[in-house]
Amino acid sequence: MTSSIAAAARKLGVDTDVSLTEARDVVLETADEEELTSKCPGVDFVLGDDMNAGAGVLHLTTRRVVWVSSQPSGPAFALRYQQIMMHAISRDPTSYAKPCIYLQLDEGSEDMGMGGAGGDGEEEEEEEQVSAEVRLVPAEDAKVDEIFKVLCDCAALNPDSEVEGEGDFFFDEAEVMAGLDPQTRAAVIADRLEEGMDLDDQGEGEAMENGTREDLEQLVGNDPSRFEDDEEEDEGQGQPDGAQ
Amino acid sequence: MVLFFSLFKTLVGKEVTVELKNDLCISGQLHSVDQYLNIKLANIRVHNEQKYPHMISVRNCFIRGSVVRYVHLPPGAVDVEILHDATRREARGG
Repeated sequence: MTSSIAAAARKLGVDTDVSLTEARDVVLETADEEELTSKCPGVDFVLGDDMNAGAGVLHLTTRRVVWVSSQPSGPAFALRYQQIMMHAISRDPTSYAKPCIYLQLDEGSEDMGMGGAGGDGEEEEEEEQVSAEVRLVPAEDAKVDEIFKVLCDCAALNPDSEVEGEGDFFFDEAEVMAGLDPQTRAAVIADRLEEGMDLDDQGEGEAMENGTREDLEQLVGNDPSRFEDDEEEDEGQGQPDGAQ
Repeated sequence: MVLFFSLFKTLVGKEVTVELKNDLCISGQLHSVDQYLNIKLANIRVHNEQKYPHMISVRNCFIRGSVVRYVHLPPGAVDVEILHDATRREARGG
């Protein structure tokens, strides 16, 4: 039974290959500055709806949530906080018999932009699609509050990498523009024209930067080719007041 | 991101709806927010119960900032003009 839980857990991105000491304590990744924040024995690990891996010890570190089965050869599961989309305290007996911590895991499929319908195409392969939900059920009901708090604190210590910055703000330009009032929209467009004044090629017709259209027409006069690049060696062009 | 952190701080106590990247929609009272825009909601109400039936019993939750797709704000909770100006300023100054 447990091997199928381990397999299901692996599918959800749970680490089932956790390094443990002889005493079945967690080997901390000191290179990653991992520290043990709290250790709680007598906690059941439940995957999905009803895959209970049995009782174990819950180790909450500054980098991971690690559960080690109390069985000498039982499994150990580890989650990084980046995988935990959401966690909460569940107290309603109709949802689960005992108060517990409810966690929803990020399987990553959404990030890849794969399917809003969430894994429809995968169901045919295996018997069941285990939902990415984990429950940590302490034998002592009162422990849920402490575990919840530690999870909050440690999650805050593990933000996503700094790669995600201001520049990663995605938006639908058309949608944003459509939502603006006419005045603001005009102002935004005008701003863009001003900023994007990278004069290319001929440089005529768009040279609003230093003057109005009339000014340009005056300069061009009757000689439209006046500002075009020279084909051959010539006296060079007379470009008035640095339109470039 | 500081802009949004400040914005959300002004909404603490108000009712918001957080839409996650996995389409889950949770309404609740904004209890707190941190610099990573991790959100804690109180007295939550889940909108897509069919997909996540167990969540109905949950009262408070902590949502990781990076999985939020949208935060739906109550109308009138935010002065949109000020927000427009502030975001434009940040985009330029950035």
